[in-house]
Amino acid sequence: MQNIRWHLLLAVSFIFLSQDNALFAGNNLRDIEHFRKENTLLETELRIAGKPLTYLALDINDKKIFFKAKGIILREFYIIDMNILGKRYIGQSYIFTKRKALFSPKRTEITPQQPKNETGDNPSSMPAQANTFDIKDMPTNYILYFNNDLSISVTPQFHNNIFLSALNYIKKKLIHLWNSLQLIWNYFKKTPFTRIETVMDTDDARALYWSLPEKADFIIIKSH
Amino acid sequence: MECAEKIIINNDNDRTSFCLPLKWLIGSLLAISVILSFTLHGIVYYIEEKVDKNLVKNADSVDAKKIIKRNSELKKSLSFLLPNSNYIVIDTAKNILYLKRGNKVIHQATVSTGSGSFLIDPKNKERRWVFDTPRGEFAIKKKIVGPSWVKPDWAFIEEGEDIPKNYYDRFEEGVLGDYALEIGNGYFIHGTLYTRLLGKSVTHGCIRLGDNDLKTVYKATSIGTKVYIF
Repeated sequence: MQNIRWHLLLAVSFIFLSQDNALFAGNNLRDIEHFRKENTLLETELRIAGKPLTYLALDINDKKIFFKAKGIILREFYIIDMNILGKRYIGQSYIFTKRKALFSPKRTEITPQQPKNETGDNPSSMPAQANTFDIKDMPTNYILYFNNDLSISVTPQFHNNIFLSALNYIKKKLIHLWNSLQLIWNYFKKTPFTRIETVMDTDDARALYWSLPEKADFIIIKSH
Repeated sequence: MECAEKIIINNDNDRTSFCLPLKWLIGSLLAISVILSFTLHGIVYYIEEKVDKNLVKNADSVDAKKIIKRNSELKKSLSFLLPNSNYIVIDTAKNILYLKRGNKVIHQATVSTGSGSFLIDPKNKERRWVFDTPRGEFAIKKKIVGPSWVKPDWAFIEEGEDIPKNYYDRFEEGVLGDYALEIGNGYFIHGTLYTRLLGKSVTHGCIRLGDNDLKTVYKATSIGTKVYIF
């Protein structure tokens, strides 16, 4: 009787352990795939973090754009709504090439003061004036272009303005339609194509336009 | 009934007219656009799915242990990039300086950064200066107490003065505050006489700080302290 009990206990333990191992193995496969993707991402980030430039990282799960340097998050930009069309290579780095806005801000020229006269007095009482750039001069509707045919279109979200909100909605839908057609075209042409359509708060949209340096790297990440 | 189009058929002995109602026309157009939209979305969805499947198919099967080991190595390497002492982060969009250690903000101050405007030398149109605060990663190269400003050419041109031939005529005292931190290429973090302009983008590229904030930043940093500007 004692022997049978022992055998039963061993059998139950064996079944339990084997089940547990099977479950663990299943989880392991998923984990390994996760680690593999994370490694690709980390390798890319390590490579671009070595440069003395700030870089952008788009988290498609948390809907955030991070401004980073050396792996440090310098600032977070919140995306209200986002849609991605085309290939989204996690871990591939892209290089920022240009920005395009309907009303892009122009640099202003400083007008030098008039030369001093013989008595040493300045004929102009006004100091050298320049209309400086301000964050409020930055556009909220624009497209950021990267290499490998990736672009991010930024559309602002207007609060308490039905007319602008309606216009924005139409614009968003038109951009989406155009991008969808382009996706099909590029699919048959077998050329790379990625379009990221975002809606952001006006302040964040302006700050992103302002802060993005030329030739900055860009990566797409998944937080979890 | 309102007609969108009247169709008239003339035979030899008969004359018949058909009326196409407006609501039928609108209805058909709507139906066509809905069908087209669904078809387009269907094609896009198919392409996206195919892209995702291809990405998974291309995945290499590599030894699990190696993958996990490599993962921890990479995380360690990335964490080594984070400065282990104080560092400075400057947000030029908000005109705010953060003195940080790890992920913690030790001190926060309002600054003035580059105006983004430009100046052309009236005597030589090829000489042009753009007054932006540089972006990227820098390090403090020099710490100066009681700094003097060595005025560059643009400062004289902007004020409508002749550029002096004697180097010592370029010195101006008391305009940079009590301290200055050089970050390279002639750019400094320094004090200002124009404290009411703090928070605005008005400088020629340097970062201006108020007196008390400048003192805090000066004391908390050393040569080599990292400065991140974006």
